This record gives sequence, C-alpha cells and structure tokens, in this order.
Amino acid sequence: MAAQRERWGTRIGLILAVAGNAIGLGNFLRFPVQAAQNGGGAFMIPYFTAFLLLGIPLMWLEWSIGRYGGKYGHGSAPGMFDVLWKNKVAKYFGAVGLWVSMVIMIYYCFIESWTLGFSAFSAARLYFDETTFAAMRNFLQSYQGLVPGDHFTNVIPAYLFMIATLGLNFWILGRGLSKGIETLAKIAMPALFLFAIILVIRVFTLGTPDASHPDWNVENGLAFIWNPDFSKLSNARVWLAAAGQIFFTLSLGMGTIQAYASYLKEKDDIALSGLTTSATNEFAEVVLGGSIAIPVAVAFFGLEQTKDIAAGGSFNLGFVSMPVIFTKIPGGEIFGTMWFLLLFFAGITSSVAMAQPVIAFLKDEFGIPHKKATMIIAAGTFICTQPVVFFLGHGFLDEMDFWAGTFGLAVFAMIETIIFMWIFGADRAWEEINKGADIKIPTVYKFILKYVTPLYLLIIMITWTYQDALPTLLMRDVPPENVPYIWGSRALMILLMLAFFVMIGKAWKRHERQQLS
Amino acid sequence: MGMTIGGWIFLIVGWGIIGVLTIYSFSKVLRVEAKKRDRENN
Repeated sequence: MAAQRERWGTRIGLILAVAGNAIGLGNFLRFPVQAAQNGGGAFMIPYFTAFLLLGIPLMWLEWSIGRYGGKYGHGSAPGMFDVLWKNKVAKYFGAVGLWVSMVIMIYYCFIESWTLGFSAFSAARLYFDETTFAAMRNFLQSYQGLVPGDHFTNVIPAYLFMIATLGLNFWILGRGLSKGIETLAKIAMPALFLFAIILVIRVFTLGTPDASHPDWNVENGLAFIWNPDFSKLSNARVWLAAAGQIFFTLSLGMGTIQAYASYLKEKDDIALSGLTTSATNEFAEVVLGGSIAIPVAVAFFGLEQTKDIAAGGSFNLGFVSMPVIFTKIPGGEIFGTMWFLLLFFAGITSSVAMAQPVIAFLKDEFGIPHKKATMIIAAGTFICTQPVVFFLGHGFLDEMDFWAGTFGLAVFAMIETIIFMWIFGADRAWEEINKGADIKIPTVYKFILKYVTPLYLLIIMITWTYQDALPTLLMRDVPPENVPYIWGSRALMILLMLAFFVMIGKAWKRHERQQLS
Repeated sequence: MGMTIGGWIFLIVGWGIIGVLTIYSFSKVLRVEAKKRDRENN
C-alpha cells in the first residue's frame, strides 16, 4: 500500500503547500486586531514565546506523525494513531482529526467564496458608491442574503460564488497531489506575496491622506500595532490570546499537516521543512499582515474609529472598512481586486488542505480511487454547506466555527501530543522527528514536547472550556429565535462525527478481512 | 501619538527575527536541494 502512494514533486512545492495551508485569512485580518488589542509591541513577547514553546514543537510533531503514518500507507489520523498506539480505540481518536478538518472545510469555503465575489466586485467597481461604513455593511449583508439591498435582493449571487469556489477547490483536488495541490501552491503563494508586498508599499506611501486630520497617518497605524503596553503582560488573557493566535495561524490541530506529510519518504527531512513553513507563515502574518489593514484604517479613519473597527472583528475590518478605503483611493479597483484575490489565494490554499485528510481516508482505508474519493467528499461538502449558506444569520456557521475551528483544534492537538509523546514514547518520537533532519533540533525541544507543550495546551483547553465552551454550550447570549438553528448546527456536527466513527469501524473490519484472505 | 522608541524596537526586532528565520531556513533548503542534485548528477 505504501509503495503506491503519491509523492510530492519537489521539496519547495511541499513547503509552499504546507505554508499555504497555514497562511489563511487570519494572517491578514485576525493577527493585526489581536496585536492591537493585546498590548501592541508587548504582544510580541507572549506571541514569540508561544511560537517557540507551542507552535514550532507542534509543527515538528505533526510533520513527524504524518511521515510515520505515511510509511504504513495512512494519510489520515485514524490510521496514523493506529500505528502509533497498538490499541483498538486508538483509531477512533483519529476521528476527531477527520471531523475538525471536514467541519471547517464546510463553512470555510463559503467565507472563501466571499473573497472571490468581492474581488470581482472590486474589479467591476460594484460597491464604489457605498462610501460609508453603514452603506458598505449593508452591501455585505445584502450579498450574504441577510438583508435586501440596492445591489442584491437575495443570496443567489453568493450561492453561485460558493459553487464556483467549491468547484475550483475540488477540481484542484481531483488533479491529485503534485498536479493539483502542488501546482496551486506554486502559483498562488508567489502571487499572494506579490500582492501583499504591492499593498504594503501602497499603504506605506499613503502618508496623511486627509490634511485636515494630520494625526491620521500610517505611522500612527503602525504605532497602534507596535507601541508596547507592558501593563498588559500581567493579564493572563493576553498570553492566552497570543497562544491561540499561534495555534490558529499555523493551522495546528487540524490533521492537514499530517496528511501532507504522509506523502514524504521515510528519510525525508521534516525538521528544516517544518521550520521553513512556520517562518514563511510568520513572515506573511507579522511583516505583511501587520502592515496593511490596521495601518491603512488609521490613516483613513483615525485611531478611535479604528479601535471600533477592530472591536467589530476581522470580517468588519476585511469586508467593510477595507472596501470603504478602496472607494477613496485612486486605482481603488486595482488595489481592491488585489486585496480580495490575496485573501482568496490565502483561503484556497488552506481549504484544499482541509479536504485532504478525508480524501486520503477514503483512498487509504477503503481503497477508493482518487477521483471517486474526491467526488464523494465534494458532494458531502456541497450538501453540508447548504444550511451554512441559508442560516448564516442565525448563528449556524458561528456554532461550527467555535466547536471545530476553535475548541476542536486544541482537543485534537492534545490527543496527538499525548499519543505521540507519551504513548508512542518520547525517545522514539524524538528519534522519529530527527530522522533525516537537515538541521539539528536543540535537545531541549524533547523536554518541551513532552512537558511544556502539553501543559500549554492543557491551560488553553481549561481556560477555553471555562470562558467560552460552557457559555456556548449553554447558549448564553443566543437569541431565542436562533436556538433551533444552533441545535441544527450541532446535530449536523454530531452526525458527521458518528459517520466517521462508523466508517472507521467498517474500514478496520475491511482491513481484517483483507489480512485473513 | 506616533511610534515610540519602544514601538520601533519591537517592530525592528520582530521583523528582524522573522526575516532572518525565513531567509536562513529557505536558503538552507535551497542549499540542501542543490547539494542533492549535484550528488545525483555525479
């Protein structure tokens, strides 16, 4: 089985694909908001601490689990856990890895389709008469089918962009690892960096756009992100926010890195490749992501209004304040198209990775041909996306985002860390991580991986459970009219989890039959 | 408001660490791959 596995065409292609998986909308929208709200420059202290103690170690751990699983012909978590832990229940823990990536894929593609839609609207100057926040918010909400507007009276345009996005994702996936995902990464990643650098140059040359407000300028925007407020460092929430940001930005705890790494050969390096993908992601986040949306918002709206925009969340920043800015600058349609295409490239290189674990599961554990497995997952994703599109205003997507896109990541990371470092064993795990390594990983990371990283994860999980999971579970702050939709969202997620449990059971019965015959 | 000295220090150090890490790791990958190609050709 292992001998027939696909392989990456080139190492650079693999690194770009894994970096593309990590670089998502959050690099350009979530990071600057988090930094500005949590101590500015001082935020970088807990951020880099989490990068060194949580991000990098988990990155090496996930690459290593993936390569080890791939050696035995497994490209998804159930099979990987089964070979790491010789116990009948091990494979069922892997269901969490399939579930997290599948659930995120279901709603992420819809959000990704907004960026495709808005890049087309930018090129066509469709929203250029909406020059206020209220008007632009109405434009966005009417596009999402939440309210009737001047340009959109229903959700059909958004639905068509969603179909186009899903179609493109699965067409790429259908072409396979090297011809599909790797080719996408080799085109989209350089384009993403090129667009981001052009936008950063444009932002830095804006100066003071409104002479009547001399303090509305890019330098003050950078100051908002970088001027340190050391008093925030005594607040535990800031340290948790930094750890959460590192977790999200590197796409850890999703099962996607393991799936990509499963197509490596046994002695291919993972130490340097893991470090390179992490560094590339951080460059996109800290250097580029921190230099576009917030600085330009301060230059056009001033500090106080930018604080309100940041408090309104990432989508407010990306899909409301940025388009308003594009209506105000010469060549706004070009920069607007670049901004949303940049987000689209960031999105699509992540979403194709999310589908990979489930496609690999069908191929490796059931022997289903690649094209057929891709079609099955495409159909399943399309069906499950319907309520996300039509019940968007009722919290359907937010519920999935919390349980899979936030809490589920920490749970899965905790499971894989315990299985790899404690059950498989720290000595064997360390040997596995260093196999074929092109760089020497400091030995202290063995201790970090065994003790510090799980402790970090445990603190995150306990805090999130207390602060967020319990209130979300009990539906505090949910309007009564949305309660049935929240239950619907939960029912869909539970059904998916049950389906994965059943499929894992069937797959291993199939393996047993094959071994007997 | 403007950037304070602390702000500039954090920006330069933050960008510097990430810049150096990115350039170091990518150049190392390229060097290793070039060596492998040379070995294969020989």
